[in-house]
Amino acid sequence: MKKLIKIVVFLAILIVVGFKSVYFRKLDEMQVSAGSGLDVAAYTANYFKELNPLLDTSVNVVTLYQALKNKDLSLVKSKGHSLSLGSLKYIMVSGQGIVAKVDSGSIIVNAINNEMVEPVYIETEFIFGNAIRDASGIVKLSDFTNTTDLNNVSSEINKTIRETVVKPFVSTVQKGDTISFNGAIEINEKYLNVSDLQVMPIRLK
Amino acid sequence: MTLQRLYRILFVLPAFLCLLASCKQKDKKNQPKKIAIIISSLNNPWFVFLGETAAKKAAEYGYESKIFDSQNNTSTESEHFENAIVSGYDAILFNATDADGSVASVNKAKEADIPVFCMDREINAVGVATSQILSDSYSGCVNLGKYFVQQLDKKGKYVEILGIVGDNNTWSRSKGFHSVVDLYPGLKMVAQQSADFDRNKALEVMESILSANPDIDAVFCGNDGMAMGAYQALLAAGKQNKVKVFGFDGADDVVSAIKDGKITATGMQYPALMANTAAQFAHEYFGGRKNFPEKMPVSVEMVTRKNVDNYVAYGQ
Repeated sequence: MKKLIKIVVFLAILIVVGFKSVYFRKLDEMQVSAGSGLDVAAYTANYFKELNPLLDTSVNVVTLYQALKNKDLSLVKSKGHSLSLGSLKYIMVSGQGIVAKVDSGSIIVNAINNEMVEPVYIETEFIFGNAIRDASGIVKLSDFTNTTDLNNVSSEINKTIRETVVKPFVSTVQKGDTISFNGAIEINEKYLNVSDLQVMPIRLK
Repeated sequence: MTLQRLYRILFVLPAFLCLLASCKQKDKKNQPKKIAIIISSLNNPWFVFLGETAAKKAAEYGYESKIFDSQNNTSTESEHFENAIVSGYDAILFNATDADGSVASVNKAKEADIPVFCMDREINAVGVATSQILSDSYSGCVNLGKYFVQQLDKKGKYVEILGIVGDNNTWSRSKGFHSVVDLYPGLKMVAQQSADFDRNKALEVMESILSANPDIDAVFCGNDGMAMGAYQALLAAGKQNKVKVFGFDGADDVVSAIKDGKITATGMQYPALMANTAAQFAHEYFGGRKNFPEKMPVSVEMVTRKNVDNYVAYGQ
């Protein structure tokens, strides 16, 4: 009888210890640290306030494309920004021209400047990445103590552009319209390919 | 012993000890600075490259360095930190084993006034490491996610194979990818499993997933080793031409596999840039610089069949 009690007690202890030692969590609950509690929406709203006056100082897209075709990166070096190390740089551009094509995810504009014309691809669906966040040089790494907040700001900026700039514009724009635009372009300084450049829109009129 | 003799001893002994200490300090000043390079695992060639590049850069600056292998074990890593502290290393270039589990070791180094520069793997603490130089995994996977959606034409079933669950890179990559892909309801994730960044585990995981989900269209993997493991499983099942495989790292075999059309895309990381920047920061620290960015992201570039000729392994 004593032996039986011993076994029961031992098993009970084993079960309790085992139960307390092992626990299961779903994979998607194991997420990366949640940031510092930065008010991303407020930060983004303030970002756009600071960005608006800077839009008028953007590089003309035709001037930029022609310089890049001649492998001249001086505008990228002087006006481009990036929060990351590496060969990706982001630059703010402006332009105006005639809409040559409207696709489900993009608009092709024949941008004109000083009688020079350049076809420009404006993205209207995949507004993602850091182009709009980094191109202005407003956002500083020192504003952030963690990368989650930095990524969330990028995401919020892009979401704002998709909903408030692109959505109303694509519902009315047509081939042949004359439009003006401001945006940001990602440029790989090391592997430059002008035909792959895409404008992430910031303002479309 | 007379009182006079005792006074003499009491006067001479501290003076002798001071002299000894100052000689030791002078010796240390004359010696080159020593840098400990503590790497999560030397079983992975990517981390070997990271560590060796850091050591090479430290040597260029005239510093002695030694590479320590933590074997993906936080206890071993902690021992390396203790060794580095007692052996008088002046800085630590660090590739963490665990985002949370490695914080205590970095704290010990901080208490011993030894600067720690994290490379590639993040630790979940603010103001502990002197600076963290990290691949911008999230943004790299945002771009991969965008390409993934385009390649699948916004519809289909897919699988995600995650890296080590305790590593922030695993979740930064996953979150970046899902920040795009989840906006497309036509894309359905039928399985999400961890394979610990390990090629063989990914092969097993993929085999098991394929038996339950034979009709998938794509696999997104948290690193290139796992992408190659997943591809092997698909090859064995005869599905290699139907299922698109996406990786992350820019490893040699994946760059070749992209050229051959076996792997669809990867995110090219720059371990040399991270290692060199960490060594440079240590050099600047020795020179008197004390303010460093808490986190220093390093760009990740997407490699596809279209631009693969621009790239070699690890973006060297």
